[in-house]
Amino acid sequence: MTRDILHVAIPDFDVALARAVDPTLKNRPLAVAAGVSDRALLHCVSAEARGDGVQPGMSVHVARRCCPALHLLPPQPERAQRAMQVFAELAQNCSPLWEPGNDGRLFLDLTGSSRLLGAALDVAARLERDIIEQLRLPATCGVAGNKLVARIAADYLDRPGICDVLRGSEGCFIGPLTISTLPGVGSVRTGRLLEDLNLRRIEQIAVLSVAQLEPVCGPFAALLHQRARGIDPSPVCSPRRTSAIVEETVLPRADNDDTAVRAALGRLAESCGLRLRSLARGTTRLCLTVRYVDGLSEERTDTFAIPKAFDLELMQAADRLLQRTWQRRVRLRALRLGCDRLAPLTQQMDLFSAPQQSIDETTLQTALDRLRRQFGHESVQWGRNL
Amino acid sequence: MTFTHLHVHSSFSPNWGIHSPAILCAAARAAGMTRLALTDRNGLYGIPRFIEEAQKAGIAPLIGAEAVSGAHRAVLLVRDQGGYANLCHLLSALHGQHPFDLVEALGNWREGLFILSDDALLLDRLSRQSRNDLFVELSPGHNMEKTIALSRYLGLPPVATNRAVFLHDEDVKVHRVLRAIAGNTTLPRLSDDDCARPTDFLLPAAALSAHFPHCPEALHNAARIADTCQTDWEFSATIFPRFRGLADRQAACELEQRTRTGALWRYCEMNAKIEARLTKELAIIRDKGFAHYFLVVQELAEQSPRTCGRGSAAASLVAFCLGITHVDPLRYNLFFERFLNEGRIDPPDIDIDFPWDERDAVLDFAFRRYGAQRAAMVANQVGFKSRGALREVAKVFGLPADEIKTVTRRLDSHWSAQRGIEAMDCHPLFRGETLSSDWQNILAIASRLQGQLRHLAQHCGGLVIVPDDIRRYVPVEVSAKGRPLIQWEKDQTEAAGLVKIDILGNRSLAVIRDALAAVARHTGTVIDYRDWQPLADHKTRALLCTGDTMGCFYIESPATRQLLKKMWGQRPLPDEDTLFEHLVMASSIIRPAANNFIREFVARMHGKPWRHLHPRLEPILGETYGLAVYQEQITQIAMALSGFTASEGDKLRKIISKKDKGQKLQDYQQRFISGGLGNGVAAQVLNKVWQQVLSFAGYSFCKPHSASYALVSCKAAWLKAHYPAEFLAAVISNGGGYYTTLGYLSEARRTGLHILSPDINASEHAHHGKGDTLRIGLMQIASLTRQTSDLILAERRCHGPFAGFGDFLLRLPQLPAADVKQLIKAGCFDMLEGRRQRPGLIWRLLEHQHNPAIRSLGDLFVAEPATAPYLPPCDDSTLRAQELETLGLPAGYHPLEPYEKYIQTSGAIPAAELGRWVGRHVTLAGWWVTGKPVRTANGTPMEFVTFEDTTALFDATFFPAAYARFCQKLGRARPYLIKGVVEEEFGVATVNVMWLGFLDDEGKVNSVCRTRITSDHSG
Repeated sequence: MTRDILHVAIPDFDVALARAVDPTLKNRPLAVAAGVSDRALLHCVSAEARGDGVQPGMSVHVARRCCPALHLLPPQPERAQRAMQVFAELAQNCSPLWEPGNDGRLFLDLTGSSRLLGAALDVAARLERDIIEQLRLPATCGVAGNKLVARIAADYLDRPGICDVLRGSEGCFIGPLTISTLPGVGSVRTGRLLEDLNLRRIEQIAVLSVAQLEPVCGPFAALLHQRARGIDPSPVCSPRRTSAIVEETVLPRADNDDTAVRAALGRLAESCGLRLRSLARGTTRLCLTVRYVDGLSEERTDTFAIPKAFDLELMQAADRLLQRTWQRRVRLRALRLGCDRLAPLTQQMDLFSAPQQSIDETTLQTALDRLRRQFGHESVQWGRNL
Repeated sequence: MTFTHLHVHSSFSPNWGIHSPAILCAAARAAGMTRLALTDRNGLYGIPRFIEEAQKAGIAPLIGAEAVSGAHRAVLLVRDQGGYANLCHLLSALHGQHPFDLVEALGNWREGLFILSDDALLLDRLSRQSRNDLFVELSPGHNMEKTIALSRYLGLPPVATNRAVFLHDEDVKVHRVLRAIAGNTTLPRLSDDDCARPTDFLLPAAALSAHFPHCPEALHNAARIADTCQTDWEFSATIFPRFRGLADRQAACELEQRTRTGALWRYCEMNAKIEARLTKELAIIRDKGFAHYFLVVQELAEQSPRTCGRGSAAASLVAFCLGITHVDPLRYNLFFERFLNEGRIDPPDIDIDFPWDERDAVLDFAFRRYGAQRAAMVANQVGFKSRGALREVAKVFGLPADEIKTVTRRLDSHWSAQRGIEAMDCHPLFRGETLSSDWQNILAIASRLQGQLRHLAQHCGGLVIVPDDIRRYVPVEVSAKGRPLIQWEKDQTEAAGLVKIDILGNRSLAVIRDALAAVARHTGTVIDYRDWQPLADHKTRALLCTGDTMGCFYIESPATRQLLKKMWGQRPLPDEDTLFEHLVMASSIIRPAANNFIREFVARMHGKPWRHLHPRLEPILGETYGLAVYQEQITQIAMALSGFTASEGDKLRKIISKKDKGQKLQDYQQRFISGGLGNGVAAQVLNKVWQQVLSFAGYSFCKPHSASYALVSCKAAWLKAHYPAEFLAAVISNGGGYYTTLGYLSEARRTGLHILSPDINASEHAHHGKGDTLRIGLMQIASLTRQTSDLILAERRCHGPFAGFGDFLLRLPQLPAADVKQLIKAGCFDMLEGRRQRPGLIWRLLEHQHNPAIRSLGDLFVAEPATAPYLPPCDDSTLRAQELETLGLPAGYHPLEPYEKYIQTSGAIPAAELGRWVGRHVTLAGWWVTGKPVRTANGTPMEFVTFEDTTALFDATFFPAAYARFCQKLGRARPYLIKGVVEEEFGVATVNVMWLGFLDDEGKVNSVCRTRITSDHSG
């Protein structure tokens, strides 16, 4: 059965959001970076800045040298989250089967709904119009018989619009494109294929057999062969719910001062604790990711036999984890603390286990939670986290 | 009795101390102290310097060290000579023995030492052995109460110290940064135990005594210890090696006998002149006890047939006869007194160059002969310098490597953090940038890191040999290579009387060796290195006079090549001796900021009338056109004009040659002027001569050294003139010299050689030159392991050339796929399979690796191999990219060739015709070859750059205005377009650059313009 998959992408999502709020930013070279430090890394870059050589991931210092007129914007995660919510609601109006992607992208499966919703092209046009009307954001749409080609079609456009690929001609559409367009062909494989075997376009891969590709890219050969022919049977999957609790923060300025980093981590632990206690659950596994200013990141986890949900114990566990995770001297840019493998906070004490939470600590934590519920989260804080 | 600081750290305490011994001594003197101990951590790294500075400041020096090992710690102060030897032994063991127990070691070597410690376990165990000379160390800020209790408990006398590290408040911050650098950590993560206490100042006695109202005996004990310690240290006695256990007289006889045999070998006969010189030299050598030293050096020099004795030793006829040096001092009038004279008290220094890849074998021989007990290497004391200081401090502050590099890569290696932010702000490379507050802070701290010791490294060739046990004289550590390493660098080694033999690596000697071997292989011509007279050859002289010396040792830099051209370009060919003398002068006069002297030198050579500044200078400067060129001329001038003795003149030469001159130079200037006036020389003349002498500052060479090097240069030039293929292949294979491999390949092309790509059946590991071809070796292929290269060559030797790629895979299945892929992309199989097949070969390789079963031909059931796919052949640009990726350079063509059509449209003239455009504005296309940034007399930066096009090399000058404008574009591997005015001096044309751009940028602009024009026309 022929499928109708629609991919909607909002190019340079964070920049587009900023421009939607402040139209004076149009046609200016922009980049989104956290903090005011020269070392901050760019998250998202406008087309004008890209033209001057600015790339996402570059530091502000370097970017300013490439493009002296570069205007920096602070990230607005809440705004991006709200926009994604509206974006998802608009998509849900078109089809119950939708899959969110990263940075202002999503897939919709419109298969078999033409009598209900109209032709896929019309749905795309309607959705694009709705996005413009409700979010004031430009969108590019790709319509094709599968997710792969729909995404390539959406990215193919360099201005807002719809690219509808005739069903059955997906292979012909992607054939002349460069092989780096294919997902899964990263810099390593691109290098091997393009430079060593002199394969430049997707159609040159499409004519090779799986057996011929296998020596080059091993187990990936079958999938690559399939993709090169424009075939992608993967379904559009609705978003999954997860029980994990994750809190993250971008430090106000990149730092290697333990006190500041521990304070930021403590605040994350407090937030996680609050959410855990509201669920009446504790975590048995803590996962800390630190991101350095040079782009590298490290991740470590710690597991516990007894679930933890109290601020003090979470902060202590997070501190221990930080010591193990933060091994380099380079300044930190961001922290992410995750709590998973949640378990009920049981009051039953083991006969031979280590002493559990004392009554005093429980009373203190309950009192703090009550105060925070009544007067806000900032009303009372641990001194080390200030 | 007055209190004395017994525990003081200088900058020679690795990663701990802040101030140099000189500053500490001055501070102690200013505080009214008369004695001071230096107790650096785990070493005597700065003791000779400390003694010298203490004597200058009028302070009585006490020698000691703080030994820290594991959990134990003790301050050890030397009471007498025996104690010094024991301390050296103990510190050597601390660094060399594993495991090391400080308490046990102190039990063995405590004789002659005072032991001060607050370590309860150590004191307890040692006190059971003996309570003599054992003290409990009390220091404010270091658990005083507990330590007093310990003293009372053990019944040991207390002694007051302040563990002095700091002089000023800001030193504390610098110390913490040092500790963070050493611990590879950040400032907030430093624990208190990692650092000195903020109270550890060199306090005046009165201020310190205020901390001991309850324990005055501690102060009294400090004074008592200081009174007992030896302070009249004398390190000036020279310690010579001993040759095969011979007595001094036997050694002198042996030396004389060997010298006379050598003289007959060198001259075939003895005459009065030789006899007189030999007698004079041998007498001085015998009287000063240097015979052993000469015999030891000769034995080492014999380890290689190709050596080059450098330094003043080349002035010695004895060294020439022994085969240590190869320049005839009689023929070239070399001044023996520069090497040895009656008044010279410091030991002579014979440095020998060996081929760079034979040096380790020579050192191994020396250690086999003398053992690790008697021989050790001299150290390099690695501290913080300019960029390194900045880099390390920036790391402590958590800056990422990339950001650090963006700043440090624009600073030259001579930049000093002390000059600070202003120096960076006014440099054109930092134009338009403001340094962030972080960087300003980092610079401020880095500017205070100067000379602090970080760790030891092995000096490249300094070897010390003593007659008995080296660990009696100096603590010995173990280098990364596993060789014993003394704790002093060359200056302190010399100051302590240890005689150093420099065994240095020289790439050009290896070049000559390899080229001669290739010549012998190809032509059967065998040349005896020691008896070779290259300048007797007309072709070699012609090559030297045209400055066509790229690749020739010591005379290949653009400045020297230009000078040679200016000297001889428009003159008839000189005879052998004249050319050699001038070559020696040329290699000595090339030094920074000597442009005016060089111009005057060439002008006088070309006949400009000149007169000596004073008639007394005539015998000294007559051979160098009235200009001071050689180092020893300083000595001679001072002797002739101002009545200096030979040793005084020699001291003046040494001071001028050193960078740190200070007050001494002013004293000598006064003596020079007053002595000259006393001799009736006019003040004006004296001042002029003094200015000329000062221009040597740190960069002059003595004539014997230059002559010794010039001889190697001539041998290289001979090889280049007669066997350019063998010579240039050897130059590139040995890592080249002043230029990059690409520069040498272009030179080979200009010499008329054909450059051949690497080939699996024809290439050796090294580059290979024969006839008019130069074949690139497998060593040029990036990331190809030496093991792979050896396997290929061994297989080829055993079973003959490879028939094809399949044959290669079959015969060498064990080679890593990555290496074989590099071989394919480097074009090694192009001759066998054709270059169109490269993608197909890579697929076959991958397929071969993927299906190892197919390789085992004996199997009955093997999978059917996949049919080889059709892969499009690579186009020219891809092939070029592969060549650049694997060889790192374009081998088959000049890098400017792809831009030929842009060069034509730009109107660029060929560099070979530069001389026809003198005084006119020209455009040139060029590839960057090398650059030399310099500063003008008033400190403005500028640069001399050498470019090349497909026809010739050409030199371009970026004067300050042009440099400021274009410096950020220099040094790239991109085609340049250069516009400027051609200037000529003594027949040599250079370009005074007015504008610089990139040809590929121009190309784009031109092509866009052309497209636009074409479309306008068609529209």
